[in-house]
Amino acid sequence: MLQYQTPVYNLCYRMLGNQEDAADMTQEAFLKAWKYLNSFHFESAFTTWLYRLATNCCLDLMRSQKRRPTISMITEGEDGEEQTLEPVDPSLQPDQILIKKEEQQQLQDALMELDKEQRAIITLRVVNDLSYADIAKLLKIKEGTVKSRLARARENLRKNILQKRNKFHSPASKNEEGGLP
Amino acid sequence: MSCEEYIVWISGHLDGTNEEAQEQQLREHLASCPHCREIMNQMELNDAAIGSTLLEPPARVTQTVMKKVRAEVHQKRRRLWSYALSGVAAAAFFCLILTGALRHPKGITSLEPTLAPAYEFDTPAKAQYDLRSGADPTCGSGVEEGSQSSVLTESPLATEAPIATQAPVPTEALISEGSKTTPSEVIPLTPNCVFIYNAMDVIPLTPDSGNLLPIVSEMNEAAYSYHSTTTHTIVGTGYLSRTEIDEIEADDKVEFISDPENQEFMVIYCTMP
Repeated sequence: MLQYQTPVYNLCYRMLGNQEDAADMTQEAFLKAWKYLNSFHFESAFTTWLYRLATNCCLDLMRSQKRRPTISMITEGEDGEEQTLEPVDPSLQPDQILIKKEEQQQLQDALMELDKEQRAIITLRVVNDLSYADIAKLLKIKEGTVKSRLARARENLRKNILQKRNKFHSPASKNEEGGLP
Repeated sequence: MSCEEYIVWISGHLDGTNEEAQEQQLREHLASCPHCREIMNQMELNDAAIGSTLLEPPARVTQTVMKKVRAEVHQKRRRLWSYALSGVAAAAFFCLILTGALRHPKGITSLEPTLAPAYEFDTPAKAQYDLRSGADPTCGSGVEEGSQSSVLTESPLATEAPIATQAPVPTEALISEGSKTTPSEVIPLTPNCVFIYNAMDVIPLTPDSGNLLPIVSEMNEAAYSYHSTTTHTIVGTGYLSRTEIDEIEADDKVEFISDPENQEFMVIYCTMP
């Protein structure tokens, strides 16, 4: 479990946007894995099967909540105190850490603005490093669809990030969305 | 092709999934289009940022999962033991009946005087007749014959009383007899199976699955990534006794070896206690 919990947790976190839900869905995925292990017949890699369980848990949660999850990089620690999500590179200077955190916040915000399918596909590819074939199996779509959806997800994410950076650096500015010619 | 169409190829380039012809055409386009170069650069940076920040899950995740799994395993075990005890009790009951039948000169028919009322108490009158004429004197110790028959003649329902007092006697004796003779518990391991030690589940494997070995070793590492002391080597198929299984501890490493003769595969996958 220790080997798989970090990628599963990060998959859930990137899809749901908050640590509390991510922890709950990670638990849920592992409990389902334990419960339904006899339905796993090695048709795919164990990790792919586990990610599928986790992805479905997250999608079910999003469907049941019917809301965008809370987006926050500030979270409550186990001791009850507020803490900012780590890790950031410890070799960075304090001002650099601040910028890095700000960038991470923007990135997560931009990710959460994607629709859930795009968020799932980009997370499975970039965070969990799944192949197009595995993603296709997992999301029950064609490999060609994976490629086009992934491209659209990356492009939308890029536009969202640019929009946020522009707002952050110049609140009055409304132009430059990084649109294509 | 427009820049928008090239985005799919830019994304494919980042994943290394483009065909050579697509890559060639994309390279030519990028050489002449600074905007698409910028897009590719930004996408690359975004991918790196998403993938580089891995958060550690809170400790409660593992704790909760293991707690729930343990609780369920204990529940399963309790259920299994209750089934096993019932089985042992039933087996012992039949053994006792057979033993009694063999030892007694008249065989099993010798029990008839004791058991007969249970089947024949149709009416109070008949019950009275049966008790007076056929009851075994040893079964009525401490109870006067007159008082029994007076109760039995009052109501048909009362005819069940003798059965209730007689039946538990041998049953209780048999249960205590059974608990003394618990059979050595053998857990069957069928060919091509994964045996999950604590979960008491047997999971079939596909022996011709090409990725079987790597996955199994991956599972093995997952289960034993913390500590490994003794190494147990299990070969082939067959049966593993409870004692043998109990020798495998959670800290131990279990090696999985397929039977070279029949290519059957057996795996013991121990979950943490």
